[in-house]
Amino acid sequence: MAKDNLIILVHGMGTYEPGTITAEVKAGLVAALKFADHEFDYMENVEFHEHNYGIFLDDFRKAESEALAQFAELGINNSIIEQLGKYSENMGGDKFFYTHILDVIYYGLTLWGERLRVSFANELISKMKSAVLKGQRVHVLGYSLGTALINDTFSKIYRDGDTTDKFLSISDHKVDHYWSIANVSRILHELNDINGANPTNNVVHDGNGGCIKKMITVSHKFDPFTRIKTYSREPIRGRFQQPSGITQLNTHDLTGYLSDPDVGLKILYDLYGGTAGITEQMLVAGSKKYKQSTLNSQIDGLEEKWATVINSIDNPVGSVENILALIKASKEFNDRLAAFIPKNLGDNV
Amino acid sequence: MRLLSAFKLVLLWIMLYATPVYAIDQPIVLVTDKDDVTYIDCDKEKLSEVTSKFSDVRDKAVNLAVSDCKARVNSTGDVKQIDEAKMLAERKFFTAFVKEQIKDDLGEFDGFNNFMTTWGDIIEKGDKATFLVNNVFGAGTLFELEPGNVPDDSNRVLIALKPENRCTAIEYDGAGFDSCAEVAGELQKAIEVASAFRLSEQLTLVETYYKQLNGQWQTFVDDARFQTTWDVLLTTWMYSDKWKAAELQGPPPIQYFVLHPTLTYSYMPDASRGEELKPVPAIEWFGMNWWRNKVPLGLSVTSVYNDRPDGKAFLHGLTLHVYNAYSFGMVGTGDERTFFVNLDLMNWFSDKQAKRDKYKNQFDEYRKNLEASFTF
Repeated sequence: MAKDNLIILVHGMGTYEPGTITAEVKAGLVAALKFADHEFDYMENVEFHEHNYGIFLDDFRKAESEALAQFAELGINNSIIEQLGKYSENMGGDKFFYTHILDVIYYGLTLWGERLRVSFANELISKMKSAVLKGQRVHVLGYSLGTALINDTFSKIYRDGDTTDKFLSISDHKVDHYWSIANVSRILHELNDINGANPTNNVVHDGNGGCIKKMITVSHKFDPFTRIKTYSREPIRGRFQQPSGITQLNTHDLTGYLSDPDVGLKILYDLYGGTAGITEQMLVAGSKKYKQSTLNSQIDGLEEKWATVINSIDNPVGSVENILALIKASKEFNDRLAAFIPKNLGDNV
Repeated sequence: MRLLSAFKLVLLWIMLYATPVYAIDQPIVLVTDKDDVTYIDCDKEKLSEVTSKFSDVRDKAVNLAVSDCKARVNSTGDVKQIDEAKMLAERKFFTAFVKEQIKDDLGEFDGFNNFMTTWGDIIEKGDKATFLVNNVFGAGTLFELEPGNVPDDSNRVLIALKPENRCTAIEYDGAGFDSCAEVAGELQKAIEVASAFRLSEQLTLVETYYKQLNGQWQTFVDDARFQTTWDVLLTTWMYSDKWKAAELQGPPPIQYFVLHPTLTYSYMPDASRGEELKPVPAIEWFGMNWWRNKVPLGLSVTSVYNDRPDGKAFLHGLTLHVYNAYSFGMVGTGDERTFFVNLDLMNWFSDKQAKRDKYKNQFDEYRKNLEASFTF
């Protein structure tokens, strides 16, 4: 028998092997429950489905690098990849940044973005169709670049009025819950400039005329990826949360986001309500325990360091510059934190 | 188990059964595509996975879904004239039944009467109704009618299910509930299924469109010529309005190429003895490829690096691309005239390891002699 909740997971930048984002989400929820010292079988009535658009991006990257490797052997150096490779080396040769920049470029600046949106629309509608005959509620959890894919795709497929052969009606086919983690849709909108997809006033919200029943946005205070063109649209029925605890070097980490009881436990409450057995006391105690585990108080001058980073990227000139400034800021902030964070916690970048 | 009064039961029986019955023997073709035929057969078995603790409400909702489906679509797949009077009677029966069945358990929660009245009006008009089980931490469970369904959507129509102990005290047809969220969730499943066939039909139509669109993109990825990021950026730019459009688009009809490097196997008939056949690199300065024509065809302005003692170092000409796979061309004039095919094409003609090794060795030799200044 089908479970009542189908959650479509849409990952962020970088390579995601099958099962990765599910594992990250589960790890975050488990950690949140652990902080609250509460046991609950959160998978009891939940089914995850991964939408893995990263496979496409990996294929594009791989095809190009393999083809160009042949030419490189012949001394022909004509490749954006090589340019990015140099850029990446300048930033410490970190593969993290290399794949992130390419993913953003591919999605935001090329026709492959449309290919990814069509693929997502196709998969989403197929899942919605099977869900409606099973009585399942369809939710979406989007993270980082995934929030841009969701924002742009929804903008292109939802319309006011009746459902037609091309468009879903916002009245009849809303997504139940949309948990938007580290929403970067505004930055990407700067790049692709899709008509009607501006996240500040488009259909992707939970008010009248929106295609979401309840939207929850979580944006970490010290996540550099959410600091330029910050998504700040307040949900009507949902929540806008700004956690600030630093537990690891990578403040953009999905598991890190969900580990915060105020985030993770409330997601479980969204799904299960009183069935989850999560009480106010548990949330308070869990949040206290979580706070004790953060490194904020150990990082001297955290606010000043953050202000320095933010000030350095305050006025980027154009959309592409925004992205580069973003990556630089992320790198800079990571570097500044690295000196203060125990090595075993700093590995996950 | 809640029982209706005998009078109401008789009345409802008359409303439901004293009207013609629609019989459909064959599955209905809703969407026909070459490789994809979708049948809507109004079969209640298709909804068998929708279960609810409000089982009798769920059963009636399924019956309404089936009646509604059969009333709207005939066996040829065409939408037919709806017997409005019969359907109205069925809808009224359903809404009255639901209200009667759940009022003892839920009637005292805030918002119940307004919710049932508003929902009943929607259903009786023949519209669809969707809901949100809104679990608000610290405020309990709100069972909300979606605003899009409500005439005046400035007002939220909901049943406030709280506190939890009132919900856990409910026992419906022998089944208990462990939370208000479960009460709301089970009720949602039970009554929302009345619209399941309609929603499914709509989604089938949209799904068909996006399947086709997705298929077009997959064909583009599989069949069109390989493009570097620069080629992709140029093609993107040539169709920039297309990608900014407010609806999803298929792949570009034409591929564009710029500074596209290729490896070719060249033949210069008038070259010195032993120099006629050579593997050399080439660059397509600018090219276009009509990749999805009946006969896919493309053309590129090309320069070939001529690594021979004869003729100029760079020879210029054109490359013709056919079927997104075969590329051949001609560069130079007079004695320098050189014909070439790309190496992928060479591989099409032979998959023998020895032959591939031969090309590889030739390229290795070529690399040794490559001028350091040869960069793009």
